[in-house]
Amino acid sequence: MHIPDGFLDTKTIIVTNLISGTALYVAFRRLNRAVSPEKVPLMGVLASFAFAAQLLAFPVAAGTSAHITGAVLLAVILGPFTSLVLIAMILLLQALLFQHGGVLTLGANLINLGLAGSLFGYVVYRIREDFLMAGVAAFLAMVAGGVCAAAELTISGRLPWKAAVISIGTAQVVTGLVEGFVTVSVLTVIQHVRPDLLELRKI
Amino acid sequence: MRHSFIDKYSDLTTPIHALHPRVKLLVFLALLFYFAAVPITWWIVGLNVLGLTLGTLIARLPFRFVLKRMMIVLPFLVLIILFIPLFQEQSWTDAGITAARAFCSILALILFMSTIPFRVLLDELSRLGVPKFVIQVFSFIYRYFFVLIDELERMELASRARTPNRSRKHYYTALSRMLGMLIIRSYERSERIYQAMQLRGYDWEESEV
Amino acid sequence: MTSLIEFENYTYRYPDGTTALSGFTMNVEQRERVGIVGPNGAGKTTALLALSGLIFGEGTIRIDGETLQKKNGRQLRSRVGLVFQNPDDQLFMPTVYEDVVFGPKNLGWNAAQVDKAAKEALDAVELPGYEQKSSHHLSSGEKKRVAIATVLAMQPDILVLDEPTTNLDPHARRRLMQLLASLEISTIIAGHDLELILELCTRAVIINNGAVIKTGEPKELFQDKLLMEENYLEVPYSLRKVREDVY
Repeated sequence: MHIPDGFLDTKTIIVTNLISGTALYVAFRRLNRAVSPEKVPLMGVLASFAFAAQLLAFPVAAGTSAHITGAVLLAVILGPFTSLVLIAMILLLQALLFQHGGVLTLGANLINLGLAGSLFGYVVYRIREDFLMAGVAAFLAMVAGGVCAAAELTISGRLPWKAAVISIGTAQVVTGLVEGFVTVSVLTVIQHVRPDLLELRKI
Repeated sequence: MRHSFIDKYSDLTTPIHALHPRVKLLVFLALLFYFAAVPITWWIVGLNVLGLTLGTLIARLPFRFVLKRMMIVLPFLVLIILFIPLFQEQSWTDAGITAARAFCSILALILFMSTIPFRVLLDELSRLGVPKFVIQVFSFIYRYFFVLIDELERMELASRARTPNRSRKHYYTALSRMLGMLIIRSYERSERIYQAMQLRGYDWEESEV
Repeated sequence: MTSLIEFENYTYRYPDGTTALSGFTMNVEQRERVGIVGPNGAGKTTALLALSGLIFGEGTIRIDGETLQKKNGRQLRSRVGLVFQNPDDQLFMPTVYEDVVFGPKNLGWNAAQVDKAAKEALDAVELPGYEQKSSHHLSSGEKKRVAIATVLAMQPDILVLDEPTTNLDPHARRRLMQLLASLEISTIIAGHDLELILELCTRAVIINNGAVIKTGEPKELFQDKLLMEENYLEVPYSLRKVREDVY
């Protein structure tokens, strides 16, 4: 659910970018204090991973397909703030290189994916830190992100609220199920092969 | 290869490619703001489309390439157009203008990104004060994204070769296990990259966040 | 005269307790090319990582008489030019030029020196004019040679290659061999390409289970069918005398 440029009005663009900008600033401050040297290539390669994984199409129904975001997955492995920064970078690159999403809508998209996934999703995961909860968190994060997207489009006067929530919400429930499934499976594979990767310091 | 179009035309020599990267960046951002904020009439839409099309012609970008990249906004447009009957305040004209804003913005984006090599863009962002750490992570992504996509495609092929009749459940499981293995391989790769950096005197103090 | 490289009774255990090297002892003289061969898991790569000061175990490693320790690791490290098996791990910058100057820049050289080192290194690997290419678009052979250039640019005392001919087609392999033969620098070549070691090295070291089994002239060692088979190796094709050897 990457909103392209042209679909949001000026006030929504400003407000969403302010919110996301503040969140990113806080995340950067946290990283700045705690990041260690080997984290730079790690973040680069794991961001490439998430970026590549987002291109993988999971067929859903009637020719449509879902793409995962990996926000909760990255948050569980690297911590919420690292995940938020990586998602922001991936969103920018997706907009620039793939024209997937927009540039002025980056703030809105970061709310829908990053704040909903990396932060809200992580908070949900912290309720009970196991894989099932991570899957639930990933699902809820996608639905929450969809609701945010619907709100942004409604406030911009592009879609009626009910229609937006129902259509985007339904789509996000489906992608959320895929996201939850993938999150749980990937964590299970890691637990099986390299359990030490789940013990990294989370920032 | 799903990434072959990136930077495909950014090394051409045309007047637009030759513009200073900062000028291009500022013009691009100004255009985006303009398309998002300025009240639009059909006259203005026509002029913009004409201008941007002229731009793609001068930059010698193939028409089909540009059209294909533009189609990515279609699902959103369909969504909006579908709901017009339910939405009293919204008219066909409004929907058309939203479409115009979206198409103009994406045309500008394609024109911008196809006329500036990614590396040049990073250099420019770095000069504009984006932290070194961010630039570093970006260049890592730009370097390894392609490597990982190729790795993913090889894994996908291998899994396909072994499962001729796959059910959806099987396919999902296979894909997620593949992603699990890929994230582990990526992690191990990052360890080797860090070793390679250390071997070439990577000094942390100098490159702090 | 002291050897350029000395391993003395060196032992390394991985965090999980597996012993990778035990009582490993070998040396490399100035201007010598030494081949290290042995089955997978024998400790080849571990020895190379230890020599590069990336991992630390018990025992002594001396580089030109200086003992490698954690505190001088960073400084001694730059004198060992380790070339990884997979060049994609070693070429981590967007362009060839940025990769080649990464080391020299970190050594604190000035711009002119950095530029000169980069140019010389790319000339040495016969890739002049490749500066602005992106590593992703190079062939395996070119990637390997750029990886060698990135370490040559730091002017190391010794070049250390881990499985240098993996993934190379015969032509690229031949060019790499000619290149290695032309470089006047002490070299360690580890790997399974026995023909390459036979052709380039004056001395070979067979290792297994983390220790040196036998050292000697490559041709002499590799001809010893029993010795080779005991260590999961094989007499190279060029050294087989009769067709019965082929099975």
